[in-house]
This record gives sequence, C-alpha cells and structure tokens, in this order.
Amino acid sequence: MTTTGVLARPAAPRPRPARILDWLTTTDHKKIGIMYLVNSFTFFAFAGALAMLMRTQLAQPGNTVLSPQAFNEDFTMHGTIMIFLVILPLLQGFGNYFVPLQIGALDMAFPRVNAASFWLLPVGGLTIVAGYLTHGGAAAAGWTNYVPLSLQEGTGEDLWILGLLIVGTSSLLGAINFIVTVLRLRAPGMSMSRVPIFTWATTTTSVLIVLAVPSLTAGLLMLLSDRHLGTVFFDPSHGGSVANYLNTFWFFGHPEVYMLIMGAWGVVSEIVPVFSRKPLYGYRFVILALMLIMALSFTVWGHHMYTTGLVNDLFFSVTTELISVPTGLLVLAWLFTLWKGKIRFEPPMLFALGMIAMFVIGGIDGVWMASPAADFSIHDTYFVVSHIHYVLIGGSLFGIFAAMYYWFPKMTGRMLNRKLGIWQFWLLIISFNVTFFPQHFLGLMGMPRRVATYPVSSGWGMLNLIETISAYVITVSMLVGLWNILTTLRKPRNAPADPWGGNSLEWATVSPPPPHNFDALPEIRSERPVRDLRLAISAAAKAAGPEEAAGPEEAVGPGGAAPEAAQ
Amino acid sequence: MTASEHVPGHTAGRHPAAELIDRQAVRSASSSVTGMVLLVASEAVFFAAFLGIYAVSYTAARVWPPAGIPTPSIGVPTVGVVVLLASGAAMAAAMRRAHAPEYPRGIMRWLTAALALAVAFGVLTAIGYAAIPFGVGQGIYESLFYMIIGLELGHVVGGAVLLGVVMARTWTGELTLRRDPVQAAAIYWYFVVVLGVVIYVVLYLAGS
Repeated sequence: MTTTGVLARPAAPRPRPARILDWLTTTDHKKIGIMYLVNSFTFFAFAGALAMLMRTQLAQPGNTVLSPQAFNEDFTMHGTIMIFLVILPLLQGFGNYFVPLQIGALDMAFPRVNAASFWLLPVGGLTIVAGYLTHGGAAAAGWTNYVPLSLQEGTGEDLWILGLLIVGTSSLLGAINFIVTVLRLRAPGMSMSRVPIFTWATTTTSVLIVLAVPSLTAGLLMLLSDRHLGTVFFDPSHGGSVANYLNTFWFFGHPEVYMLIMGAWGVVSEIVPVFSRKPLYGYRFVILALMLIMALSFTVWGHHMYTTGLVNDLFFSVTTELISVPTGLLVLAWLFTLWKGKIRFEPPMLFALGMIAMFVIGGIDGVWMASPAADFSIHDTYFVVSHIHYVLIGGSLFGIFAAMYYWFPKMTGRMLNRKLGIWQFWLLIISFNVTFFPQHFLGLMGMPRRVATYPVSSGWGMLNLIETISAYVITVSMLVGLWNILTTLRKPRNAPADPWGGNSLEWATVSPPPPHNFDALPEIRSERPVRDLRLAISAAAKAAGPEEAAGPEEAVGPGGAAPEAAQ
Repeated sequence: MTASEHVPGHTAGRHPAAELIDRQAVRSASSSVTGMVLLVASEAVFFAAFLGIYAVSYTAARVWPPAGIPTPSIGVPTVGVVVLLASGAAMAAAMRRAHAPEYPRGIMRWLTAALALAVAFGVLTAIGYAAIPFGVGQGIYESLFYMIIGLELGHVVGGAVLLGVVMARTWTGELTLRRDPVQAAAIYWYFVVVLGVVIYVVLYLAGS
C-alpha cells in the first residue's frame, strides 16, 4: 500500500447502509456521536421554541401571551435543556465522533458504556420535559432551582430532579469513557504532547465532569429527600441552611460553565490553524491554559453568591479575576495564529472567528461581574442574561456550528453548502448581537431577569421590542442551517478525505470513516501528523519529477478529490 | 513511487486494519482499572459534599450532636467496622493471588471471604440503621446521619454485587486470561472500606 493509499478510498468494501436496528443497538462511537448530535439538536429546537415564546411575551410591556406561571416554566425548561441537553451533549457528541479518530483509536475505551451514556440522555431529557404533562406543570424554579422555591414546587419539580440525575449519570459515564480513551488508546507516537487541542479540551472537560457532577448529584438527592423523606438539609428552622444547596449547586455550577465552553475552545483551536495555514501558536501554552482553567474553575463558585453574604467576596473575586488570565492566553494564542496567516474565510473559519469575538465580549462581561461592587448592582438583572448568552451562544454555540461545518464532510461524506453557511453566519452574528447586546443596557437600567412582564413606565419597551424582532431573525438563521443540512444530506457522497487541508488524524481516513476507522495510520511525529504526511508526499513527488507531482498533491490537497490515479 | 515506510506493515491476507484492532484489544485491557479509579474519584467528591455539609453544620452548631437527643449506640457499628476491615484484608489477599503466576488459582476462596464479610458488614450496617434512636426530620444532624449511613449502605450493596459478578465470571473461567475486572472490583471495594472507616470515625467516634 502506498502512502497516498492512507488517504484514498479503502480497499475494504463499504458497510451496508445502516438500518434502524443498527442504530438502536450500535456501540460504534461514530454512530453514537451522530445520535448525540441528532438528539441534542432536537432538544435545541424545542428549547429554542420556548425562547421564542418568552421573547414574544416580552416584546411589549404588559403582554399576556404567557401567564406568569407558564413563563416561569418556560425559562426553567429553556435553561435546563440548553445547558444539560444541548450544549454539553453536542460537545460530547463531537467528542464521541472525533476523539477516537484524533488519537488514532478504533473506538472508545468502553463502547457499551458509551451507548448507555447516550441512551440515558433522551430518557433523562424526556423525564424533565414530562413535567409539562403533570397537574402542576413543569418545574418552574429556574435552571439553578434554588431552595426554598424548589421545595414548594409540584410534581414537575420531581421529574426535573430525576431527569437531571439521569442526565448527570450520562455525563459522568461519558466523561470517564473519554478520559480512559485518551489515556489508554492513543496510537503509537501519539504522546500527550501531540494530542490535538480538541481532544485535550474534551479531556479537561471530562475531568471537570468527574469531579463536579457528584456535587450536583448530592444536592439533588438532598433536595429530593427534603421534599419527600422529611429531612431538613435546607430548612433553617431545624439547623439546615439554604447555603447547603447554594454551595453544592455552585461547586458543580461553575465548573459546569467551563464544561460548556472548553469543547468550543478546542474546536476553535483546531479550525484557526487549519484555515490560517499555520501551526497553533503556543500549542503547549494552550494545553497549560486549559489545565489551569480546569483547576481554577473549582475555586470560583462563590462569585454566584456575592450578594448572599455567605461567602468571602474578596477571595472569590480574586480567583475569578485570576481565571481570566489563562482564558486571555487562549484568545492571544488564536490571534497570534491568525497573525500573518493565509486566512481562508470558509464557513467553519467564519464561525470560529465569530466565536472568538463574541466570547471576548462575554468574557469581559464576566470580568466586570467578578468585581463584587459591580455585581451588587447588576446581580439578577438582564446584564447577567446577556453575559450568559454571549458565552453560551457567542462562545459555545458558535463553536458548535464551526465544528458542524468543519466536520460535516467527515461525518457524512458530503460538503455543506458554502453560500448557505456564509448566510447563516452573517444572519446569526448580526441578529445575535442585536438581540443580546441591548440586554446589557436593560440590565444597567435595572430590568430584573425572570420577570414575565414589566410596566410601560419602566421605559424598557423599545429595547425589548428590538430584541424580540431580532430573536426571530436568529430563528431564521437556524432554519437556514437546518435547510443546508437537509439538502446536503440528499446529495451524493463526494467529499474528499481531507477537504480543508487538516492537521489531525481524522483527516487521514476516508469520509465517512469505515467502522474500524483506519486501514492504516500515518506515522505520528508531531501534533500535526496529517500535515507531515502531506508534506512528505509532495516532497516525494517533487523528487520523482514534475510530471508526476500533480497526482499526489491533488490526492491530499485541500478541496481535491482523492483520485484513484494517485495510487 | 511508494513510500510504504510511512505506513505500519501488515500481514498479507488479513484485513488491513487487523493489526490496529489487535493492538487496541491489548491496550484496552487496563482500561477498566483506570475507569474504576475515575469512578471512585467521583464517588469521593460525592461523599465529600455530605461530609462538607456535616463539617459546616458542626461548626455552626453550639452543641453537637444537638442537646437532648439520644446518641446512637456505638457497639454494632464498631463490630461492623472491624468486619469491614477484615473484608478489605481478604480483598488484599485476593489481589495478591491475582498477581501471582498461578492466577486464577487460589483467588476464589479469598474473594468468597471478602464477599461474605462484605455481606456481614452490610447486615450489621442495616441493623445499626434500623436502630438509630431518632427521627430523620428532627434536625440537620439527624438528616445527615440518615443520609450518609444510607448512602454508605447503598455503596456496600453495589460493591457486593460487583464482587459477586467478578466471582461468577472467575468461576466460569471467563477471566482466566484477564485480571483487570478483579482489580477494578478491588479498587471499588477498597474505596468502600476507606469510606466505612471515615464515616465510623466522623459519625460515631467524633460526632457522638
């Protein structure tokens, strides 16, 4: 077999098309990864529709589209689903598909556990959503689910707790699987200092999950037993304390926000070098930054509790400001990678650049709120809503769309439409900013979050109306993306093995990869093995003479199909 | 223009990926041990959350345990913790057999001893649990007491089931060429033993 054969079509026959039973019983990390994505995008559509309901309600002062109770249920479900069933599982879905490929492994370390962690997700998600069918309606205490409010809720609250316990178990099993896979199943030559940043980011995310999710589990169990078994963990009249919930929740909750963003950082760290035609600036420093953030994220939870008087504000203020240092290091690494690069503005790169810009806005909001003096005036206002959406949409979701456009050809063998991708990007980034940037002003003007309506005299009507109109444009941009995916899936499979001129091992196999991932692996001597291979091929071709040089170049060059002639 | 030195060689006639698949099978053998270490780390955080709340409540309370409540008897839990330590010792002996060249010969009797002692500890814990002389809702001390012991009991049951599964698989000869499931079960059981001792010290020795 020749070197070019590594990148060409496999000698082995293609697997027969998957039937439904194959999907239901599969332990293949690639199919499970795709199921993660489909499941999460479905929940994304549902939670997005809830968001549109809320925006419609808030379009005018005194609106009555939703009752206050329905509004409370909607923002609770919106937040819970987006955080636990959309952003994190989407990143885990991409991780499922690409971590084994990036480290040259055959599958995850525990394929059956992997299937279990996927199937727990829709079960947990539907358990949470089933609250809508109960007499008292869905859980309505917000995604943070503070006591004592959550102690007074109806059956929907119990389903919320049970669903979250199931989803947490899913995350925990998945995280253990990722860490073991990365530690144990790396291909020869793939040392930890050559592992792609996306895989690194998935690993650090998984460490956070392993060490933080049990704290949430403990909090939820106490909540459940306070509600039904007569314990008094959160009841101050019997020596319990609301602080017990706040501490267990936020000891999980702050590492949680890093679980939601690290994967997106990883995606951007993959895409920016490829589309700048440069190595990632400071590869080792990026890893160091990820590890520092991973460790520091366990020391900042108290900044959610400044106004409670329960924590040492100064300590948590310092640690929170401190964590912005390695985060800034990441942004600098991406900017220096862009510097003097040959930048190609393909859709994945546009989303990655959008992610950097939007994440910086969200991050700077965070630095302001880390100051207790500022936080006391903007706590629980729309300023916080703006911040969380800048980091979760502008950061995580832009990263997820970047990953979608970047890896779609690898997953399906089909290239997404470039023009529609560019349309989706510009529609989204403009409407996203018009929707969420004014929320900074609303927050500073004192509009509290989680209110179903507001009076005319508040003067918040105009900005809210603009936001609502713009939110509908966000929906349009999502529909453009959906249309792009659906129409592309009907096209023939003609994507080359390496359409972008990639660096990491997933580009060294055909698109989509065979069930066993690789027929053969290239030698791994740096953190960019596929680029090394490409250079070796073109050097060999040059040595062989100019008339032969064209073949292999085409075989692996960006955008080139892998012609049989190259073999 | 071949450059086959860039590609790992493979035996003629086999599937081209066969070598990669073989290597993966070998490397995944130690995965269950790593996975169990991570699970135990997660479990440790889980119990640390409850013990942390215990510590905070202890610090905040003027009298601990609260004045006027009957303290749970220390007799049965003391016997229990001795049985638990014996079970851990039996597990350690089983692990010594697991690393001996004649493995899996001789391991079954130690695993049986560990399991029998584990079940005994579980029964003693359940007896102690039933005899706790106060109600669950009287105060934070009582709530924590019930919660922590209850969860410990759950983990003992889980550990006993895990041990039973590993023993059954050893019995059928399925594990003749593998030690990692036994090792993984042992790591979990060591965790339960350490947990049992910590809970005994905190709740019964220091806390009453």
